[in-house]
Amino acid sequence: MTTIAKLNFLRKQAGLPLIRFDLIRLREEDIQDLRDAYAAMYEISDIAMGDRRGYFALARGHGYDQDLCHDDDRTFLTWHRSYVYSFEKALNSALQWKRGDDELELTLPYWDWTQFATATHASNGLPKMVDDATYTNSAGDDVPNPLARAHSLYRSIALGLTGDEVFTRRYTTRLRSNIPLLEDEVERYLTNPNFEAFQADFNFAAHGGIHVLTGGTDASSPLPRSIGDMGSTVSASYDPVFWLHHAMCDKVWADWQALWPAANVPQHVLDTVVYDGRVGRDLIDAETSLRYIYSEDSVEAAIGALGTADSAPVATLSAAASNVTEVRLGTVKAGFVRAELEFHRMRPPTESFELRAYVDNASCDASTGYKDKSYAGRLVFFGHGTCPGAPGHCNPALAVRDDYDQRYKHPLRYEHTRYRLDITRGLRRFIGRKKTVKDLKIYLVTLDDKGEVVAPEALVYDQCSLRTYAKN
Amino acid sequence: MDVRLTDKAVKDRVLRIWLRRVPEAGGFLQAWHIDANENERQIGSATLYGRGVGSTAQERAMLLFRLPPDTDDLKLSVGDRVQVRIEEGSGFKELNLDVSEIE
Repeated sequence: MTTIAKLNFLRKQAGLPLIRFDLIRLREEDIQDLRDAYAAMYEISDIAMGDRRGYFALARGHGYDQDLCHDDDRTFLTWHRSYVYSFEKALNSALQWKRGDDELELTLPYWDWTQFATATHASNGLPKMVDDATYTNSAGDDVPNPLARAHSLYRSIALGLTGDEVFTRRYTTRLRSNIPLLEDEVERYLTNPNFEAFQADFNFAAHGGIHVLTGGTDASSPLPRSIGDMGSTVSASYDPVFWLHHAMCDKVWADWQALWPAANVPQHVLDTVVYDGRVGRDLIDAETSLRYIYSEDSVEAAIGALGTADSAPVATLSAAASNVTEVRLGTVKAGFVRAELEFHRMRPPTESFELRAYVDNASCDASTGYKDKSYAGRLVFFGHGTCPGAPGHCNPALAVRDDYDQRYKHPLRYEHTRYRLDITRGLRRFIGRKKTVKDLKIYLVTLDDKGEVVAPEALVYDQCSLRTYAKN
Repeated sequence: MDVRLTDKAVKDRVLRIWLRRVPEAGGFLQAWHIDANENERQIGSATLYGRGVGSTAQERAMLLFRLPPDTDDLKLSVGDRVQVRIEEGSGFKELNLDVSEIE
Protein backbone atom coordinates (compact mmCIF):
# COMPACT_ATOMS: atom_id res chain seq x y z
CA MET A 1 0.00 0.00 0.00
CA THR A 2 1.20 3.50 -0.78
CA THR A 3 0.89 5.42 2.44
CA ILE A 4 1.04 9.19 2.58
CA ALA A 5 4.63 8.92 3.80
CA LYS A 6 5.52 6.72 0.81
CA LEU A 7 3.51 8.81 -1.63
CA ASN A 8 5.33 11.93 -0.56
CA PHE A 9 8.67 10.20 -0.82
CA LEU A 10 7.83 9.34 -4.42
CA ARG A 11 6.71 12.92 -5.02
CA LYS A 12 10.01 14.14 -3.64
CA GLN A 13 11.88 11.84 -6.00
CA ALA A 14 9.83 13.28 -8.85
CA GLY A 15 10.58 16.85 -7.77
CA LEU A 16 6.97 17.54 -6.77
CA PRO A 17 5.84 19.35 -3.63
CA LEU A 18 4.79 17.18 -0.72
CA ILE A 19 1.11 17.09 0.18
CA ARG A 20 -0.51 17.81 3.52
CA PHE A 21 -3.89 16.13 3.71
CA ASP A 22 -7.05 16.70 5.67
CA LEU A 23 -6.83 14.68 8.88
CA ILE A 24 -10.10 12.92 8.23
CA ARG A 25 -8.83 11.77 4.81
CA LEU A 26 -6.17 9.64 6.43
CA ARG A 27 -6.55 5.90 6.05
CA GLU A 28 -5.81 3.37 8.78
CA GLU A 29 -2.18 2.96 7.75
CA ASP A 30 -1.71 6.72 7.56
CA ILE A 31 -3.21 7.19 11.00
CA GLN A 32 -0.89 4.52 12.32
CA ASP A 33 2.08 6.28 10.75
CA LEU A 34 1.03 9.53 12.40
CA ARG A 35 0.58 7.87 15.78
CA ASP A 36 3.87 6.03 15.48
CA ALA A 37 5.65 9.22 14.50
CA TYR A 38 4.29 11.13 17.50
CA ALA A 39 5.15 8.20 19.76
CA ALA A 40 8.66 8.10 18.33
CA MET A 41 9.07 11.81 19.09
CA TYR A 42 7.97 11.18 22.68
CA GLU A 43 10.40 8.27 22.94
CA ILE A 44 13.28 10.37 21.65
CA SER A 45 12.51 13.10 24.18
CA ASP A 46 12.38 10.58 26.99
CA ILE A 47 15.84 9.35 26.02
CA ALA A 48 17.34 12.79 25.42
CA MET A 49 15.33 15.92 26.18
CA GLY A 50 17.33 18.15 23.85
CA ASP A 51 17.35 15.84 20.82
CA ARG A 52 15.96 17.99 18.03
CA ARG A 53 13.91 15.12 16.65
CA GLY A 54 12.11 14.84 19.97
CA TYR A 55 8.79 16.30 21.06
CA PHE A 56 10.16 18.45 23.86
CA ALA A 57 12.69 20.15 21.62
CA LEU A 58 9.87 21.39 19.40
CA ALA A 59 7.10 21.97 21.90
CA ARG A 60 9.19 24.08 24.28
CA GLY A 61 9.88 26.56 21.50
CA HIS A 62 6.35 27.92 21.64
CA GLY A 63 5.83 28.33 25.35
CA TYR A 64 7.52 26.87 28.38
CA ASP A 65 10.46 27.08 28.64
CA GLN A 66 11.84 28.89 25.62
CA ASP A 67 8.80 31.06 25.09
CA LEU A 68 9.91 32.10 21.63
CA CYS A 69 6.46 32.75 20.28
CA HIS A 70 4.11 35.62 20.86
CA ASP A 71 6.42 38.56 21.01
CA ASP A 72 5.28 40.04 17.73
CA ASP A 73 1.76 39.46 16.50
CA ARG A 74 2.68 40.96 13.13
CA THR A 75 4.62 37.80 12.27
CA PHE A 76 2.03 35.35 13.52
CA LEU A 77 1.64 33.63 10.16
CA THR A 78 5.29 33.36 9.16
CA TRP A 79 6.43 32.37 12.65
CA HIS A 80 3.97 29.50 12.85
CA ARG A 81 4.54 28.41 9.26
CA SER A 82 8.20 27.95 10.08
CA TYR A 83 7.41 26.33 13.41
CA VAL A 84 5.00 23.78 11.95
CA TYR A 85 7.46 23.07 9.14
CA SER A 86 10.22 22.24 11.62
CA PHE A 87 7.85 20.06 13.60
CA GLU A 88 6.79 18.22 10.47
CA LYS A 89 10.40 17.46 9.56
CA ALA A 90 11.16 16.27 13.09
CA LEU A 91 8.04 14.12 12.96
CA ASN A 92 9.28 12.47 9.78
CA SER A 93 12.80 12.07 11.16
CA ALA A 94 11.35 10.33 14.20
CA LEU A 95 9.30 7.97 12.06
CA GLN A 96 12.29 7.20 9.86
CA TRP A 97 14.33 6.45 12.96
CA LYS A 98 11.68 4.22 14.47
CA ARG A 99 11.03 2.30 11.28
CA GLY A 100 14.63 2.23 10.11
CA ASP A 101 13.34 3.46 6.78
CA ASP A 102 14.71 6.65 5.25
CA GLU A 103 12.37 6.45 2.27
CA LEU A 104 9.53 8.16 4.11
CA GLU A 105 8.26 11.72 3.85
CA LEU A 106 5.46 11.93 6.35
CA THR A 107 3.61 15.23 6.24
CA LEU A 108 1.53 16.77 8.97
CA PRO A 109 -2.23 16.58 8.30
CA TYR A 110 -4.45 19.55 9.05
CA TRP A 111 -7.43 19.48 11.36
CA ASP A 112 -10.20 21.30 9.56
CA TRP A 113 -12.13 22.59 12.54
CA THR A 114 -14.81 24.09 10.30
CA GLN A 115 -16.13 20.60 9.62
CA PHE A 116 -17.98 18.03 11.68
CA ALA A 117 -19.34 14.58 10.88
CA THR A 118 -20.58 12.03 13.34
CA ALA A 119 -18.70 9.28 11.54
CA THR A 120 -15.34 10.91 12.03
CA HIS A 121 -15.80 13.24 14.98
CA ALA A 122 -16.47 12.79 18.67
CA SER A 123 -19.51 14.45 20.18
CA ASN A 124 -17.35 17.27 21.52
CA GLY A 125 -16.32 18.28 18.00
CA LEU A 126 -12.79 16.90 18.02
CA PRO A 127 -11.81 14.28 15.43
CA LYS A 128 -12.10 10.86 16.99
CA MET A 129 -8.57 9.93 16.11
CA VAL A 130 -7.24 12.66 18.38
CA ASP A 131 -9.99 12.48 21.00
CA ASP A 132 -9.96 8.76 21.73
CA ALA A 133 -7.80 8.00 24.75
CA THR A 134 -6.84 4.61 23.37
CA TYR A 135 -6.91 2.78 20.09
CA THR A 136 -6.59 -0.82 19.01
CA ASN A 137 -3.29 -1.52 17.34
CA SER A 138 -2.54 -4.07 14.65
CA ALA A 139 -1.90 -6.72 17.31
CA GLY A 140 -5.39 -6.21 18.67
CA ASP A 141 -4.25 -4.54 21.87
CA ASP A 142 -5.80 -1.39 23.26
CA VAL A 143 -2.96 1.06 23.72
CA PRO A 144 -2.74 4.77 24.61
CA ASN A 145 -3.39 7.11 21.70
CA PRO A 146 -0.33 9.33 21.15
CA LEU A 147 -2.57 11.96 19.55
CA ALA A 148 -4.69 12.34 22.68
CA ARG A 149 -2.12 13.61 25.12
CA ALA A 150 1.58 14.14 25.71
CA HIS A 151 3.98 14.75 28.55
CA SER A 152 4.29 18.51 29.14
CA LEU A 153 7.41 20.12 30.55
CA TYR A 154 5.23 23.00 31.69
CA ARG A 155 3.35 20.59 33.87
CA SER A 156 6.24 18.48 35.15
CA ILE A 157 8.86 21.19 35.59
CA ALA A 158 7.20 24.59 35.82
CA LEU A 159 4.25 23.37 37.89
CA GLY A 160 5.99 20.41 39.51
CA LEU A 161 3.18 18.01 38.72
CA THR A 162 3.80 14.28 38.83
CA GLY A 163 2.18 11.01 37.83
CA ASP A 164 -0.67 11.21 35.39
CA GLU A 165 -0.84 14.97 35.81
CA VAL A 166 2.26 15.48 33.68
CA PHE A 167 0.12 14.73 30.62
CA THR A 168 -1.83 17.36 28.71
CA ARG A 169 -5.60 17.50 29.11
CA ARG A 170 -8.50 18.93 27.17
CA TYR A 171 -11.86 19.94 28.56
CA THR A 172 -13.57 20.43 25.25
CA THR A 173 -17.22 21.20 25.84
CA ARG A 174 -18.03 24.14 23.57
CA LEU A 175 -16.19 23.38 20.38
CA ARG A 176 -18.95 21.60 18.54
CA SER A 177 -21.49 24.37 18.98
CA ASN A 178 -18.98 26.88 17.62
CA ILE A 179 -18.08 25.01 14.43
CA PRO A 180 -20.65 26.84 12.24
CA LEU A 181 -19.33 30.16 13.54
CA LEU A 182 -15.76 29.11 12.82
CA GLU A 183 -16.69 28.20 9.27
CA ASP A 184 -18.37 31.56 8.83
CA GLU A 185 -15.37 33.34 10.32
CA VAL A 186 -12.91 31.72 7.94
CA GLU A 187 -15.11 32.61 4.97
CA ARG A 188 -15.08 36.19 6.17
CA TYR A 189 -11.29 36.29 6.51
CA LEU A 190 -10.82 35.00 3.01
CA THR A 191 -12.71 37.97 1.55
CA ASN A 192 -10.25 40.43 3.07
CA PRO A 193 -7.45 41.31 0.64
CA ASN A 194 -5.36 43.12 3.26
CA PHE A 195 -2.65 40.91 4.78
CA GLU A 196 -2.46 42.66 8.13
CA ALA A 197 -6.21 42.77 8.61
CA PHE A 198 -6.60 39.15 7.52
CA GLN A 199 -3.83 38.04 9.85
CA ALA A 200 -5.08 39.97 12.87
CA ASP A 201 -8.68 38.82 12.60
CA PHE A 202 -7.63 35.24 12.01
CA ASN A 203 -5.05 35.21 14.79
CA PHE A 204 -7.25 36.70 17.46
CA ALA A 205 -10.56 35.13 16.54
CA ALA A 206 -10.67 31.66 14.94
CA HIS A 207 -7.09 30.67 15.76
CA GLY A 208 -7.26 31.82 19.37
CA GLY A 209 -10.81 30.55 19.61
CA ILE A 210 -9.75 27.01 18.81
CA HIS A 211 -7.16 27.19 21.55
CA VAL A 212 -9.69 28.34 24.13
CA LEU A 213 -12.47 26.05 22.92
CA THR A 214 -10.26 22.97 22.74
CA GLY A 215 -8.54 23.59 26.04
CA GLY A 216 -11.69 24.47 27.90
CA THR A 217 -11.86 24.67 31.66
CA ASP A 218 -12.56 22.25 34.46
CA ALA A 219 -12.30 22.60 38.20
CA SER A 220 -10.19 19.46 38.33
CA SER A 221 -7.46 20.92 36.11
CA PRO A 222 -4.17 21.48 37.97
CA LEU A 223 -3.22 24.28 35.57
CA PRO A 224 -3.59 27.88 36.76
CA ARG A 225 -7.17 29.05 36.35
CA SER A 226 -8.24 25.47 35.77
CA ILE A 227 -7.75 25.56 32.01
CA GLY A 228 -6.78 22.84 29.56
CA ASP A 229 -3.30 23.00 28.05
CA MET A 230 -4.41 24.38 24.71
CA GLY A 231 -5.86 27.45 26.41
CA SER A 232 -2.66 29.41 26.97
CA THR A 233 0.47 30.04 24.92
CA VAL A 234 2.82 28.79 27.60
CA SER A 235 1.32 25.28 27.59
CA ALA A 236 -0.51 24.80 24.27
CA SER A 237 2.19 23.28 22.10
CA TYR A 238 2.58 20.26 24.34
CA ASP A 239 -0.91 19.13 23.34
CA PRO A 240 -0.54 16.90 20.25
CA VAL A 241 -3.54 18.56 18.62
CA PHE A 242 -1.73 21.91 18.64
CA TRP A 243 0.23 20.92 15.53
CA LEU A 244 -2.81 19.71 13.64
CA HIS A 245 -4.58 22.96 14.49
CA HIS A 246 -1.68 25.05 13.28
CA ALA A 247 -1.41 23.06 10.08
CA MET A 248 -5.01 24.16 9.52
CA CYS A 249 -4.11 27.77 10.32
CA ASP A 250 -1.33 27.54 7.77
CA LYS A 251 -3.73 26.08 5.22
CA VAL A 252 -6.17 28.94 5.71
CA TRP A 253 -3.32 31.33 4.99
CA ALA A 254 -2.36 29.28 1.91
CA ASP A 255 -5.98 29.43 0.74
CA TRP A 256 -5.99 33.18 1.29
CA GLN A 257 -2.74 33.49 -0.67
CA ALA A 258 -4.27 31.62 -3.58
CA LEU A 259 -7.19 34.05 -3.58
CA TRP A 260 -5.01 37.16 -3.26
CA PRO A 261 -1.73 36.34 -5.00
CA ALA A 262 -0.84 40.00 -5.49
CA ALA A 263 -1.48 41.01 -1.89
CA ASN A 264 1.18 43.18 -0.37
CA VAL A 265 3.04 41.56 2.51
CA PRO A 266 4.51 44.19 4.88
CA GLN A 267 8.28 44.65 4.76
CA HIS A 268 8.52 43.91 8.46
CA VAL A 269 7.05 40.47 7.88
CA LEU A 270 9.39 39.81 4.98
CA ASP A 271 12.47 40.93 6.92
CA THR A 272 11.84 39.34 10.29
CA VAL A 273 13.66 36.18 11.28
CA VAL A 274 11.26 33.66 12.80
CA TYR A 275 11.47 30.18 14.28
CA ASP A 276 14.53 28.11 13.35
CA GLY A 277 16.23 31.13 11.83
CA ARG A 278 14.13 31.37 8.71
CA VAL A 279 13.46 34.77 7.21
CA GLY A 280 9.90 35.85 6.51
CA ARG A 281 10.40 36.35 2.80
CA ASP A 282 11.50 32.74 2.42
CA LEU A 283 8.24 31.53 3.91
CA ILE A 284 5.71 33.35 1.78
CA ASP A 285 5.64 30.94 -1.15
CA ALA A 286 5.49 27.62 0.66
CA GLU A 287 5.19 25.53 -2.49
CA THR A 288 8.37 26.91 -3.97
CA SER A 289 10.52 27.48 -0.93
CA LEU A 290 9.33 24.81 1.52
CA ARG A 291 8.08 22.32 -1.06
CA TYR A 292 4.64 21.49 0.26
CA ILE A 293 1.03 22.10 -0.70
CA TYR A 294 -2.38 21.31 0.77
CA SER A 295 -4.99 19.02 -0.65
CA GLU A 296 -8.63 18.60 0.28
CA ASP A 297 -8.85 15.53 -1.96
CA SER A 298 -8.42 11.92 -0.99
CA VAL A 299 -5.04 10.27 -0.70
CA GLU A 300 -6.04 7.84 -3.44
CA ALA A 301 -6.64 10.74 -5.81
CA ALA A 302 -3.17 12.05 -5.16
CA ILE A 303 -1.68 8.62 -5.72
CA GLY A 304 -3.56 8.32 -9.00
CA ALA A 305 -2.46 11.77 -10.10
CA LEU A 306 1.17 10.91 -9.48
CA GLY A 307 1.00 8.01 -11.89
CA THR A 308 3.66 5.97 -10.17
CA ALA A 309 3.72 2.44 -8.92
CA ASP A 310 4.43 1.34 -5.39
CA SER A 311 8.04 0.53 -6.08
CA ALA A 312 10.39 3.05 -4.59
CA PRO A 313 13.29 4.41 -6.61
CA VAL A 314 16.76 3.05 -6.10
CA ALA A 315 18.44 4.66 -3.15
CA THR A 316 21.63 6.64 -3.69
CA LEU A 317 24.71 4.60 -2.98
CA SER A 318 26.95 5.97 -0.31
CA ALA A 319 30.61 6.34 -1.14
CA ALA A 320 32.86 3.92 0.62
CA ALA A 321 35.37 5.42 3.00
CA SER A 322 39.02 4.97 2.19
CA ASN A 323 41.54 4.89 5.01
CA VAL A 324 44.78 6.48 3.97
CA THR A 325 48.12 6.56 5.76
CA GLU A 326 50.26 6.89 2.68
CA VAL A 327 49.01 9.50 0.28
CA ARG A 328 50.41 9.35 -3.24
CA LEU A 329 50.15 12.74 -4.88
CA GLY A 330 51.99 12.17 -8.15
CA THR A 331 54.02 14.96 -9.71
CA VAL A 332 54.13 18.31 -7.97
CA LYS A 333 55.57 21.45 -9.49
CA ALA A 334 57.52 23.95 -7.45
CA GLY A 335 56.69 27.65 -7.39
CA PHE A 336 53.44 27.54 -5.42
CA VAL A 337 52.66 30.12 -2.75
CA ARG A 338 50.58 27.73 -0.72
CA ALA A 339 50.03 23.98 -0.58
CA GLU A 340 47.24 22.25 1.27
CA LEU A 341 46.18 18.69 1.83
CA GLU A 342 42.41 18.52 1.55
CA PHE A 343 40.40 15.85 3.33
CA HIS A 344 37.04 15.42 1.66
CA ARG A 345 33.93 14.39 3.54
CA MET A 346 35.85 14.05 6.78
CA ARG A 347 33.57 12.75 9.56
CA PRO A 348 33.93 14.87 12.69
CA PRO A 349 35.42 12.41 15.20
CA THR A 350 33.97 11.46 18.57
CA GLU A 351 37.35 11.70 20.30
CA SER A 352 40.00 14.39 19.92
CA PHE A 353 42.85 13.57 17.57
CA GLU A 354 45.91 15.11 16.05
CA LEU A 355 46.79 14.36 12.46
CA ARG A 356 50.41 14.98 11.45
CA ALA A 357 51.71 14.98 7.91
CA TYR A 358 55.25 14.02 6.93
CA VAL A 359 56.77 14.23 3.48
CA ASP A 360 58.40 11.11 2.13
CA ASN A 361 58.97 9.58 5.55
CA ALA A 362 57.40 6.14 5.71
CA SER A 363 58.86 5.45 9.13
CA CYS A 364 57.35 8.43 10.90
CA ASP A 365 55.66 7.88 14.23
CA ALA A 366 54.77 9.76 17.42
CA SER A 367 58.39 10.37 18.24
CA THR A 368 59.12 12.01 14.90
CA GLY A 369 57.70 15.22 16.29
CA TYR A 370 57.55 18.68 14.76
CA LYS A 371 61.24 19.39 14.36
CA ASP A 372 61.97 16.60 11.92
CA LYS A 373 62.75 17.91 8.45
CA SER A 374 60.02 15.72 6.98
CA TYR A 375 57.32 17.32 9.16
CA ALA A 376 54.87 19.24 6.98
CA GLY A 377 51.99 20.28 9.22
CA ARG A 378 49.14 19.09 11.42
CA LEU A 379 45.41 19.27 12.08
CA VAL A 380 43.89 19.02 15.54
CA PHE A 381 40.35 17.72 15.85
CA PHE A 382 38.26 18.67 18.85
CA GLY A 383 36.14 15.55 19.41
CA HIS A 384 32.41 16.07 19.66
CA GLY A 385 32.08 13.48 22.42
CA THR A 386 29.67 10.67 23.04
CA CYS A 387 26.24 11.13 21.52
CA PRO A 388 23.85 12.69 24.06
CA GLY A 389 20.76 11.98 22.00
CA ALA A 390 18.51 9.08 21.25
CA PRO A 391 19.85 6.37 18.91
CA GLY A 392 20.60 7.86 15.53
CA HIS A 393 20.93 11.38 16.89
CA CYS A 394 24.56 11.78 15.84
CA ASN A 395 24.09 10.08 12.51
CA PRO A 396 24.07 12.69 9.75
CA ALA A 397 22.96 10.03 7.30
CA LEU A 398 19.60 10.06 9.07
CA ALA A 399 19.40 13.83 8.82
CA VAL A 400 19.69 14.54 5.14
CA ARG A 401 18.92 18.15 4.30
CA ASP A 402 17.69 19.15 0.89
CA ASP A 403 15.07 21.32 -0.78
CA TYR A 404 12.42 19.35 1.08
CA ASP A 405 13.99 19.71 4.49
CA GLN A 406 15.47 23.08 5.26
CA ARG A 407 16.14 22.69 8.93
CA TYR A 408 19.65 23.52 10.08
CA LYS A 409 22.20 21.12 8.78
CA HIS A 410 23.19 18.33 11.11
CA PRO A 411 26.12 19.56 13.20
CA LEU A 412 28.10 16.46 12.27
CA ARG A 413 27.35 16.71 8.59
CA TYR A 414 30.26 15.78 6.40
CA GLU A 415 28.77 15.85 2.91
CA HIS A 416 30.54 19.08 2.13
CA THR A 417 33.34 19.17 4.65
CA ARG A 418 36.81 19.94 3.39
CA TYR A 419 39.42 19.99 6.12
CA ARG A 420 42.65 21.61 4.99
CA LEU A 421 46.10 20.92 6.30
CA ASP A 422 48.70 23.54 5.37
CA ILE A 423 51.88 21.78 4.25
CA THR A 424 53.42 24.72 2.40
CA ARG A 425 56.63 25.04 4.38
CA GLY A 426 57.27 21.32 4.69
CA LEU A 427 56.67 20.70 1.01
CA ARG A 428 58.82 23.63 -0.05
CA ARG A 429 61.61 22.32 2.13
CA PHE A 430 61.31 18.90 0.55
CA ILE A 431 61.23 20.22 -3.03
CA GLY A 432 64.15 22.57 -2.43
CA ARG A 433 65.56 23.89 -5.67
CA LYS A 434 64.00 21.24 -7.87
CA LYS A 435 61.39 22.29 -10.42
CA THR A 436 59.26 19.24 -9.87
CA VAL A 437 59.12 16.11 -7.75
CA LYS A 438 57.63 12.91 -9.05
CA ASP A 439 55.59 10.42 -7.07
CA LEU A 440 55.28 12.65 -4.03
CA LYS A 441 54.24 10.68 -0.95
CA ILE A 442 52.81 12.17 2.20
CA TYR A 443 52.55 10.02 5.34
CA LEU A 444 49.86 10.70 7.91
CA VAL A 445 50.11 9.80 11.57
CA THR A 446 47.06 9.92 13.80
CA LEU A 447 47.54 10.46 17.53
CA ASP A 448 45.03 10.45 20.36
CA ASP A 449 44.77 13.04 23.13
CA LYS A 450 47.53 11.23 25.05
CA GLY A 451 49.91 11.54 22.14
CA GLU A 452 49.73 7.84 21.30
CA VAL A 453 49.56 6.72 17.69
CA VAL A 454 46.22 5.16 16.88
CA ALA A 455 44.87 3.25 13.90
CA PRO A 456 44.25 5.46 10.88
CA GLU A 457 40.64 4.30 10.88
CA ALA A 458 40.08 6.66 13.82
CA LEU A 459 39.67 9.38 11.24
CA VAL A 460 37.32 8.65 8.37
CA TYR A 461 37.18 10.54 5.10
CA ASP A 462 36.56 9.72 1.49
CA GLN A 463 39.54 11.25 -0.21
CA CYS A 464 42.71 13.21 0.33
CA SER A 465 44.12 15.49 -2.34
CA LEU A 466 46.74 18.18 -2.75
CA ARG A 467 45.80 21.71 -3.72
CA THR A 468 48.52 24.18 -4.63
CA TYR A 469 48.08 27.86 -5.33
CA ALA A 470 50.14 29.67 -7.95
CA LYS A 471 51.53 33.16 -7.41
CA ASN A 472 48.85 34.78 -9.51
CA MET B 1 -14.35 47.53 31.19
CA ASP B 2 -16.41 49.99 29.18
CA VAL B 3 -15.65 50.99 25.63
CA ARG B 4 -17.50 53.06 23.05
CA LEU B 5 -18.48 51.81 19.63
CA THR B 6 -16.48 53.35 16.83
CA ASP B 7 -17.69 54.29 13.38
CA LYS B 8 -15.70 51.40 11.92
CA ALA B 9 -17.18 48.92 14.37
CA VAL B 10 -20.73 49.96 13.59
CA LYS B 11 -20.09 49.94 9.87
CA ASP B 12 -18.18 46.63 9.77
CA ARG B 13 -20.30 45.03 12.51
CA VAL B 14 -17.06 43.98 14.14
CA LEU B 15 -15.72 45.52 17.33
CA ARG B 16 -11.96 45.20 17.72
CA ILE B 17 -10.33 46.07 21.02
CA TRP B 18 -6.53 46.05 20.96
CA LEU B 19 -4.63 45.27 24.15
CA ARG B 20 -1.06 46.41 24.75
CA ARG B 21 0.01 43.01 25.96
CA VAL B 22 -1.63 39.63 25.75
CA PRO B 23 -3.11 39.06 29.23
CA GLU B 24 -2.02 36.23 31.45
CA ALA B 25 -5.55 34.89 31.78
CA GLY B 26 -7.72 33.95 28.84
CA GLY B 27 -11.21 32.64 28.47
CA PHE B 28 -14.63 33.48 27.14
CA LEU B 29 -15.72 37.08 26.98
CA GLN B 30 -18.97 38.81 26.23
CA ALA B 31 -19.82 42.31 25.13
CA TRP B 32 -22.89 43.92 26.62
CA HIS B 33 -24.62 46.93 25.16
CA ILE B 34 -25.75 49.33 27.88
CA ASP B 35 -28.19 52.06 26.98
CA ALA B 36 -28.86 55.37 28.70
CA ASN B 37 -31.28 53.67 31.05
CA GLU B 38 -28.70 51.08 32.05
CA ASN B 39 -30.56 48.37 30.16
CA GLU B 40 -28.15 45.62 29.22
CA ARG B 41 -28.13 43.37 26.21
CA GLN B 42 -25.50 40.85 25.22
CA ILE B 43 -24.36 41.72 21.69
CA GLY B 44 -21.25 39.64 21.04
CA SER B 45 -18.78 37.14 22.36
CA ALA B 46 -15.07 36.60 21.98
CA THR B 47 -12.35 34.25 23.11
CA LEU B 48 -9.08 35.39 24.59
CA TYR B 49 -6.07 33.11 24.17
CA GLY B 50 -4.06 34.16 27.19
CA ARG B 51 -0.34 33.83 27.60
CA GLY B 52 -0.60 31.73 30.78
CA VAL B 53 1.15 31.91 34.12
CA GLY B 54 4.91 32.10 33.71
CA SER B 55 4.90 33.17 30.07
CA THR B 56 7.04 36.13 29.03
CA ALA B 57 5.01 36.78 25.88
CA GLN B 58 4.90 40.48 25.11
CA GLU B 59 2.82 40.73 21.97
CA ARG B 60 -0.33 42.71 21.51
CA ALA B 61 -3.67 40.97 21.52
CA MET B 62 -7.05 41.81 20.14
CA LEU B 63 -10.58 41.05 21.27
CA LEU B 64 -12.84 40.58 18.29
CA PHE B 65 -16.59 40.77 18.75
CA ARG B 66 -18.90 40.12 15.83
CA LEU B 67 -21.82 42.50 16.28
CA PRO B 68 -25.41 41.60 15.39
CA PRO B 69 -27.35 43.31 12.63
CA ASP B 70 -29.65 46.13 13.64
CA THR B 71 -33.13 45.17 14.75
CA ASP B 72 -36.19 47.12 15.72
CA ASP B 73 -35.21 46.58 19.33
CA LEU B 74 -31.57 47.53 19.05
CA LYS B 75 -29.81 49.76 16.59
CA LEU B 76 -26.11 50.17 17.27
CA SER B 77 -24.69 53.67 16.95
CA VAL B 78 -21.30 55.31 17.14
CA GLY B 79 -20.50 56.15 20.75
CA ASP B 80 -22.75 53.51 22.26
CA ARG B 81 -21.47 52.13 25.54
CA VAL B 82 -20.32 48.52 25.53
CA GLN B 83 -19.13 46.65 28.58
CA VAL B 84 -16.77 43.67 28.26
CA ARG B 85 -17.04 40.89 30.80
CA ILE B 86 -15.26 37.60 31.28
CA GLU B 87 -16.86 34.32 32.14
CA GLU B 88 -16.21 33.11 35.64
CA GLY B 89 -17.95 30.11 37.06
CA SER B 90 -21.53 30.13 35.88
CA GLY B 91 -21.64 33.89 35.32
CA PHE B 92 -19.68 36.82 33.97
CA LYS B 93 -17.75 39.47 35.79
CA GLU B 94 -16.32 42.78 34.73
CA LEU B 95 -12.67 42.89 33.84
CA ASN B 96 -10.15 45.61 33.17
CA LEU B 97 -7.59 45.26 30.44
CA ASP B 98 -4.87 47.56 29.17
CA VAL B 99 -6.53 48.83 26.00
CA SER B 100 -4.42 50.59 23.38
CA GLU B 101 -6.92 51.08 20.59
CA ILE B 102 -10.54 50.46 19.74
CA GLU B 103 -11.60 49.89 16.16
